[in-house]
Amino acid sequence: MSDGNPVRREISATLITLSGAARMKKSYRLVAFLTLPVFFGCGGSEQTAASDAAPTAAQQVAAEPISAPEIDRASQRAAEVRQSVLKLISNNFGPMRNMARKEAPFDAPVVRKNSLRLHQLSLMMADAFATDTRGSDVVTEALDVIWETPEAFAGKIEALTTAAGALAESAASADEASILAAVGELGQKCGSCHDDFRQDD
Amino acid sequence: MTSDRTTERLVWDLPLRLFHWLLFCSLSASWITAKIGYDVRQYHMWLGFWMIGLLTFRIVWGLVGPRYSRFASFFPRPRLFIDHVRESFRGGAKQSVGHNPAGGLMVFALLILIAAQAISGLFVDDDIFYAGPYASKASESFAGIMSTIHHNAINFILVLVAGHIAAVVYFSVLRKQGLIRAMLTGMKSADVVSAQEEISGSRIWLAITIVIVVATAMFSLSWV
Repeated sequence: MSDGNPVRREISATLITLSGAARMKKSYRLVAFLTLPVFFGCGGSEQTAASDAAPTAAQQVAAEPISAPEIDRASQRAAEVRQSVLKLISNNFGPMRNMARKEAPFDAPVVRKNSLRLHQLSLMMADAFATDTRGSDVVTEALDVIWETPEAFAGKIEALTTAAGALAESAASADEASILAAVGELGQKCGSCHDDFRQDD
Repeated sequence: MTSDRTTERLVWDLPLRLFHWLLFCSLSASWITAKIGYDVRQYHMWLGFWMIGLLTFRIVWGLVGPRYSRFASFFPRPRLFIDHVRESFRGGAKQSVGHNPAGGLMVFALLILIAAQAISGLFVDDDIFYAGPYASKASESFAGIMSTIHHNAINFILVLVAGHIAAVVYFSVLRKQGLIRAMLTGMKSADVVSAQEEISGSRIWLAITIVIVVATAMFSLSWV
């Protein structure tokens, strides 16, 4: 709808040009996208070389510390994984949010299915955030405080798992009001974690 | 004492004063609710809608309100601004009846920034439960820009508010101009305001009419 309007498109194009931040973010993404295959190519050949012969002790001592591009590759990968988990969470939560906001009709089977998925996804969160990407130059909204206060972050994950479990349990009943209340409760866990650990874009 | 017409004269009309203090309270509340976060986000959004209504009233009032509420009376003029700052540093700036040239510039900057803050919020989506009324109607890139504005303009607003308060306190306490009292009572000393410069009244009925029209227009947008 919005794309069909040339005036609006013109305005948003102008605003994008004016906004240095948005432009930088875009170019970052472009650079990351273009260089990714190069990195993967390097990774592949390195692995083959390494597996050909076990390194001698001398070689190990002489080995340089992990080079900067390699750290960035690990961070980039970690960021992609955790963003994917969160996208899946968002994707599965979306239909229930629409039900809770009365923008979509209540659909019990969808709630049952999605709440089980959310419970599983919440269990992946700790692993997804295990790689500390502080100081790397990946484009991320993950705040440093995630790795500065790991107990607090783990607490948020646990709260999410609990709320998702409660929703899945509630979804087995036929009580629409209590199911939607559990959806709200789950959303509250998302929000309270974003308050502390996610940067506002 | 404040109604002593021979020593004090009306400068700031009642609707303007109400707007000023309501905006101050609403802005504070919406900043605090933003800091608290998700749990009070619904109130934060209501405060934003309310402030868009306040600002709309102020824009109309800036065109049809009494003399010193009108934008034309304090529209920033670089020459006057430079003269004012120079004289202030010499310690001899003439006391203004309405906004002084620096104050007028501040008012414009604050109104524009607060409007940008409030309007950009209409496009923000928290990816969970709460979304501005136009978040899903705008293109993703436009909503992204609005979100960036919403999360950054507040920092400039806070700096300006700090500057505004510092200036008002300076002129009120050290220079004894009683600006804070004037924004409460509407009155300034007859030494500063001549009889011809005084406004004749607050145009209350005009203000009430504007409020009704603005409120009707706001509700017809059905943001709530």
